Amino acid sequence: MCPSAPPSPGAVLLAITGPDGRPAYLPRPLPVDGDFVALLDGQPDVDQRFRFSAPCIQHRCAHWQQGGCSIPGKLAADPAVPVTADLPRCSIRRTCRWFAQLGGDACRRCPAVVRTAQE
Amino acid sequence: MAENEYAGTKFVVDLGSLKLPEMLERQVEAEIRAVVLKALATPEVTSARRLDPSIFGTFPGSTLGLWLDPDNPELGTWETPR
Repeated sequence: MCPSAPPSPGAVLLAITGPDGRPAYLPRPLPVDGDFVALLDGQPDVDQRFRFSAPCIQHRCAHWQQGGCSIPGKLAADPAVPVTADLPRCSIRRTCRWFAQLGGDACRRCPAVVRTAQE
Repeated sequence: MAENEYAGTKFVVDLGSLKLPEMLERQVEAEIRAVVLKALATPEVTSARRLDPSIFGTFPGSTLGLWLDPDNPELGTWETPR
């Protein structure tokens, strides 16, 4: 699974940014439907308020390089990316692409991830 | 009905010893999820996180997640198959 996918019917809601600005990971993945996606359409800061997960599309994604996702390695190499001490309570870890590639080092950077920069 | 555990909201409806038919259970669960999602879509419920803008520059499309390069369209879409 990709832990940073756009909202779409069939994707799952992975985390929500609470009023305190911290991501609240859902202990169980919550599938989203077209109605929810339609509600978000046109709203501001969707990528900054929510994190979605969807099946990794591998080579069809621009981040797929040399047989793997390039995101976790780049995040780990960037000192500007905040790192948490503990792993988040995540519902997709066993199937997460980033965890499969980088283990806990990916998970400790995952809470900082925002899919796109705020406009 | 809403319970707060670990400071998060959890909705539980305990029917005691009553076991609903499986199809009805699934229907009700789906309706509950839809109601919850609708509430989560309320902008006031969430806030927007920030990440150092400089981080995005090293990623294709300035996107830290699933992204189809518009200059190299792939067959089909990325949407989850039903």
